[in-house]
Amino acid sequence: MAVHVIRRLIQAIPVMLLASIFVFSILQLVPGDPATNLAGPDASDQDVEIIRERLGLDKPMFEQYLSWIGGALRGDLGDSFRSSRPVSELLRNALAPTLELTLVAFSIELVLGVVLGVMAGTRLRSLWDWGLSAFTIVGIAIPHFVLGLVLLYFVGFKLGWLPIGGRVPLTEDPIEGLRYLVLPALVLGLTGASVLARFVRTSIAQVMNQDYIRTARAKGLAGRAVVVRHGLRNGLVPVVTVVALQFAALLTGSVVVENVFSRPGVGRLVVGAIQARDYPVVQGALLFLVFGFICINLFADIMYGILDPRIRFS
Amino acid sequence: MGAVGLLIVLTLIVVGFAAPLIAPHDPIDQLRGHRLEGPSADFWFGTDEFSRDIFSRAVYGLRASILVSIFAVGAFGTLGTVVGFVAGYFRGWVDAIAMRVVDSMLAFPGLLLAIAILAALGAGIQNVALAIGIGAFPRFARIGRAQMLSESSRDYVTAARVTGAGEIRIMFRHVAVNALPPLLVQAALSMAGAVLIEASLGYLGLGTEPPQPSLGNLINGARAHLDKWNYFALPGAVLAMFLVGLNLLADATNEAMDPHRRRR
Repeated sequence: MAVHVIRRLIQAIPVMLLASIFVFSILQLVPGDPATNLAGPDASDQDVEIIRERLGLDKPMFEQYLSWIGGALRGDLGDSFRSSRPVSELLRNALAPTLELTLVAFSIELVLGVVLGVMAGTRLRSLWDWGLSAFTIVGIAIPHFVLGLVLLYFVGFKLGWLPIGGRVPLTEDPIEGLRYLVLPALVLGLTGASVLARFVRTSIAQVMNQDYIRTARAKGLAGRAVVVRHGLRNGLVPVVTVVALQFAALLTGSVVVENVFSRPGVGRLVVGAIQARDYPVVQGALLFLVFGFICINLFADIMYGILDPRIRFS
Repeated sequence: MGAVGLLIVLTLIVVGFAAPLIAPHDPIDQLRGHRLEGPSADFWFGTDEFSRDIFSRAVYGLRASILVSIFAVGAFGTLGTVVGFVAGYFRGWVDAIAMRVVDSMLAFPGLLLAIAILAALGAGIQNVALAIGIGAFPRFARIGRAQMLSESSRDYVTAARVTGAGEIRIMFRHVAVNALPPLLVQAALSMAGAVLIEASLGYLGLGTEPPQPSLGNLINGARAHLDKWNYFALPGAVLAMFLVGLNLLADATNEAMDPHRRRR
């Protein structure tokens, strides 16, 4: 067991290293000279040199990378070009809204995905099953921003039930916070719920064909008890990894959803920073998102090994 | 369902390629006196805040989306497959290096990778195609390698080698043909992914630059005019239909290529 975990952790190191080099090289690939861009059109050559020195852009690239990643490991990602505030501080402020959104979306996804999947999986080729197929195709295919705008139009604009954008922290005012959160979380969670429901359906359908299910039925157990006690417990094991991977997908989905619903968050931060050419923020936020993504995937991999011993030894 | 998907996709591809014939107006021309109108006989999807015909913009945007996706998946899918074949055929250090790079590329989710690349290169349709293509590349490399590994130990490859076939010939004339089914499935999946990412980038303002239309930046413009339902809903419906079609097609391809799933 320990060997499996350690091997997975070691395998993740080169991946993280390459990913960080990639994120770092974004700044090097930008057309033109960053110091000149930053100084603006009216700056003298001397000003440009001062900026270059202050940002360390005159040092060799390798040295720049080392000082950047070294800083990042200590929680220092440099300062924003635009606001001069530390990138780590901007990230910390953006983290709570993004986590709030992804966690609520994740709960919606879990409940909806498992319930719909089990209903379809235990009633193959029924109306339920057909309904689920239609739901998953639409849920997977429709982009977040299209669904988001449709919901905003009906629930926010036409009916006026919910605000059409912004955020109130859940910790400040839970009721008001939820009113801002429910639409974005629903939009974000629906895609994942569709993917999850498909997996649960297939998995449950397979389990329900097993002999022990027939045995449970034969000894007189009620239908619901068979599904919940025997079907669910065995059918959900392979679903666990899918769930972890789906959480990683929520992290990327939040980039679009935050922009549709004008919610603050890491995704908003990235897109705003790209448009403002605020490269330290772009790098810092992307590094954060990518590392988050890698860590969740790593967790999924390890979980899978724990749940299914065959994976561990291959 | 696959036939339905194929029908939708083919219809929309024809519409996209015939954009100049189908669009009743120029997608960029500002038609004075027709600002933010609802749908009418003259403007099927209404007009936007710059008095441009939304239907014409949607049709041209669809074309851009199709071209970008086909180019990205076609070019980079082929490249990835070749890299995967080479890595799987020679194994050893070539394989080790190639696969570490591929792994770290896979560590980036598609949309984030595209955002990162566009952050560096700037917006514009070529860069979008490049960004989406680079995201598609590692998946094809993975499949190409796996296929090569499983096929190259088969008897027919040994037979070809015995008859004196060269390495390149074995790779492309013999193995490639047998490795095609999973690559086709991936191509269908990647097309759906590419269209979605292209539209999302456009929506985020990182894709095709206005005034050139893309389905994504068109709908982005609608965010500020939420009271005009036709502005976001009609181009959104075109995009959603295209994506539903592509997903149905990808599912059908997957099922057709996998005998286990076909029987169920």
